[in-house]
Amino acid sequence: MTSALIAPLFEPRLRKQIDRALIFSVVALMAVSLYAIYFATAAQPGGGLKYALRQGVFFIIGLILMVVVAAQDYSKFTRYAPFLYIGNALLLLAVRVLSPEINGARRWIPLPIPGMDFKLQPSEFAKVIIILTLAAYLARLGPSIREFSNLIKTLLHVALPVILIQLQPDLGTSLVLLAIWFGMVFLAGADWRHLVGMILVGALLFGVAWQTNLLKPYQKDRIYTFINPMNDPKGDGYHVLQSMTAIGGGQVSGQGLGHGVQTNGQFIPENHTDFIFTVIGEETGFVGAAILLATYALLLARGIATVAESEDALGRLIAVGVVTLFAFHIVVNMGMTLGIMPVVGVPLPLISYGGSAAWSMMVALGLLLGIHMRRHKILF
Amino acid sequence: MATTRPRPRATFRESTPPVLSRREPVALRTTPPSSRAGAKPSAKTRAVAKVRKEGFDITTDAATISARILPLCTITGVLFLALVCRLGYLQVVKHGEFVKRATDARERFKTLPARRGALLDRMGNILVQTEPTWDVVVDPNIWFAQSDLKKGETPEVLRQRVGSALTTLLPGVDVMGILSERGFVKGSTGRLRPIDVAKRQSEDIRQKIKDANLLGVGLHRSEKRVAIDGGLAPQVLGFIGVDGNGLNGLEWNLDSKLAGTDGSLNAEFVKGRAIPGTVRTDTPPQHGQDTVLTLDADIQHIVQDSLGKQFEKTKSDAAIAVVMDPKTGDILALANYPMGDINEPKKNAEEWSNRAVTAMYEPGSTLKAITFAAALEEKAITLQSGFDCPGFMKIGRQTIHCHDNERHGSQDASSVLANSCNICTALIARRLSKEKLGAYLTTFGFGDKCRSGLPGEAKGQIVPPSIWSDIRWANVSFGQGISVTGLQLASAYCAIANDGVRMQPRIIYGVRSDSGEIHPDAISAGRRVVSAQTARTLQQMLTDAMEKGTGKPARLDGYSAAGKTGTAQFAENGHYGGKFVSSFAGMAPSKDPQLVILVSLVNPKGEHYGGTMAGPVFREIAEKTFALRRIPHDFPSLAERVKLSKKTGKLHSVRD
Repeated sequence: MTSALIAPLFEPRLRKQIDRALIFSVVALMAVSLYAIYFATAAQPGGGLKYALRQGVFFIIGLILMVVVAAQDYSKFTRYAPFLYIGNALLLLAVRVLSPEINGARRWIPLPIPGMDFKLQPSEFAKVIIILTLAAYLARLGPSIREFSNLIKTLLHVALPVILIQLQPDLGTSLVLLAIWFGMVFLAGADWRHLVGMILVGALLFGVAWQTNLLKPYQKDRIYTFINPMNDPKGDGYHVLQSMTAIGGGQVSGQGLGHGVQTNGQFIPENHTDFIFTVIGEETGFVGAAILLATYALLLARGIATVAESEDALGRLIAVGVVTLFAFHIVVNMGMTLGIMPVVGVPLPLISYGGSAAWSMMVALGLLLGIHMRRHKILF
Repeated sequence: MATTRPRPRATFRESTPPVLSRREPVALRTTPPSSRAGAKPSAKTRAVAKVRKEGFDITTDAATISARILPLCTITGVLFLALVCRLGYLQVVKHGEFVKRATDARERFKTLPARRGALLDRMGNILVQTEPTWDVVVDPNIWFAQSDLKKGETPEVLRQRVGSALTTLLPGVDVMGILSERGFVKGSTGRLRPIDVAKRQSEDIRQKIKDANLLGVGLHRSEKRVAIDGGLAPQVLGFIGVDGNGLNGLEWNLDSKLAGTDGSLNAEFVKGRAIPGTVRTDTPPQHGQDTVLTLDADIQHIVQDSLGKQFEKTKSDAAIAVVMDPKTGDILALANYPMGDINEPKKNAEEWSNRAVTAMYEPGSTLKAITFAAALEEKAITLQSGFDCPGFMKIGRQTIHCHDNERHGSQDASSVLANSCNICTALIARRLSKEKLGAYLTTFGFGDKCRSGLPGEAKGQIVPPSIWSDIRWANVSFGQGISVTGLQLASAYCAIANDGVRMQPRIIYGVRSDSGEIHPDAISAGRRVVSAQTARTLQQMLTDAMEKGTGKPARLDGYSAAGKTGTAQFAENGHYGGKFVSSFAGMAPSKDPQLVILVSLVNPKGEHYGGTMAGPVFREIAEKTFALRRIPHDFPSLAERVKLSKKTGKLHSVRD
């Protein structure tokens, strides 16, 4: 059974097509992740090894998921698209009942794993599921995506999970889904005038939401703070200011592994999850941060190559969804720690501490690997 | 919303659920170019229509794909470039500012407080020491910041919740009262003032409060000077003020040694801890010197117990007791009543007066021993010298009496002391010159500070002998018209007990090192005041005074003892107001005195004779101390002695 799951990987014609550069970048990012998590939490009581080891376990499970997903023909998944879509919606609804409230949000489903305090975060998996169902939908729509009504339908397809996620609330993930939608419909061939028009309407709606208090006060505060962190350096601006201070203090070559003063001082809350880039920025400096960006660039380049080389519309659409997913996470997360993006809670892919996020990212990479292996139709 | 893989349209239609069929008109409407209102179908639209009809997939069209991938790549590339530029700006261009900001935020100069040295007894038992404590402080600002009106958690609700939790954790503190009384008061910065709920709480309570994890409750480090059971010898030890400086007693006198020197740490701190690698200067504190006193906690305990009981029973105005080791001059115990509680230092001067060294009083007949020592040393009398007491004596225009106008008649020198005969003592003093008597008083330590190491010692008062009138000459010989302190009297008796060598009285025994070893100071050499022969003769006479004389109530069961009672009028504000001081000074065992004990009670109610008032205290202290030290009996028990004296009519003598 188990071997049957990954059997296709051993077929020579597929095995030769494994994207080694992508795998290299994934493994490199994981190594960076374990290091950064270790030092981010080392100064906490009961931190350090505990978090790094748990993340290591998450990665091993994630790698298995990635390999299993890559071994499957990706069209298999889209066959279950309706079930995936409905199941996803149900999970996002279940959160409203099952989740404990943490920092004013309900995003988690506690799993009764003995000895571990593990909470599944369905909104992380929503990202991959929406990539699959939207790809299937777009592939079926074909060129008719150029029609505005069809474009609106695809938006509605994404709107349901976005609304459910906004109820948690989780602005970051909502924006991720919208970004994925944008990337995928754009590649699918949507009329750019339609897209520009929708962005303008979206901006208008945002203005209305602002005025009518549809946004939570803390979300508004984050946007204010993004505009000027010094406005409130001890309150809302604290996070960004401390983060920028840490990264700026890293200078060119960094303060040395394990020697980040802001990091060891625990000045930055959440510095093992959303703000983990501050650890890398402070301890390895510009050199380390640039190498990290280059590694991400390699990963994205491999993804785009897969989009370009794939001869199958479905594969292409899934691939571009995955690329958008990663690009959005990287840019928004790093931008937030560098003070050029508002603080929205998205993790740094493959680096931030967390099981659900790592698994969803690695399932996405599994899809990408699978598409890459099967990019030439002739091979089928 | 059902979706499926792209397939040839025929297959698609067959497998489509009914819901999808509703989409059909949409697709059909757009498919014929003519359906677009008036617009001429472009070549592109036609191509699309053709492609759709034939089931050809546009997304495999290489041209379209690259046309769409390129903008996506560009957007991603531009965003990545923005990240790199921002990184470069922060880390390479502007890093100086951030490094400075980071350092400014954390660099602190922190005082490392020195621990105040403990005061220990001669065995190393703690008399008083500094213990870490915690002040409980509540910050109401957090209640406002964390209040959640949706859940009904107003600041008031949070205050009630925290208040009731603290009430159970802090027994005896009216937490709710403090919280509502201090209320929500805004300080000058616009923030609410923190409220001190309780000061100097124990480690135990701190842990409980920490575990309770109460919103807005903080614990600040403080310290407390703690003595067990309210403290032994509080007037000797003294107390410290709120700023930690000694205010009286030895705490004041030894303040510089006990306080130590604070250290300092200049480093970057996080949550009160220095970040490793950021320390610029680090001067560790010099902790205060643990000081060992000559006091013996066990004996002190006995003395406080015995004297305290008698003080209460006799309703005296004041009471003192001094216990000394005559061989070294060590003050083994020193008690004063009324007595304060060292843990609750109220500024009640009465309770904090160390009157055994600071207060002067007329010693009365206890001083006769010194007159006798001088006369024996000067060979003015021998044990066998005979005297006659007529009951009164006219000196100039005044008449002196023995107490109760008793007439002692013919008696030898020993009996003069035993009967405490004022007239014969005055006669003995007349055999010495005024100057000689005065010189001996000075030699025995009267009229000058004892320099024992206790603060505030009084000198006592001796009018210069050259201007003594005859009546003062007589009065001084039996302890009137002269003022002494309890410690002076005790140390004078020490000289007699130590075979004529007066040791310097002292309260400081030595120091305790950090390793816990006690390093005693050297004992300064004594000073001979009378010959050993004189001292021994006097010891014998004082023993007789106890066995057959006024000292009877002080006799010890199973131990020999030598001592003298004394009753003197007590002068207040320069007048005798009908108050008396009843004293007993003595030593035991007579053969080789280990202890000298002085007990004085000011204005005891009932009788005022030294023997019946102070004597029993002397007895209780001596007997309990000997029992504690397991010193073997050297004398028949009281019952045997009474039987023996009835049978033979003779006194039992120590030196028989």
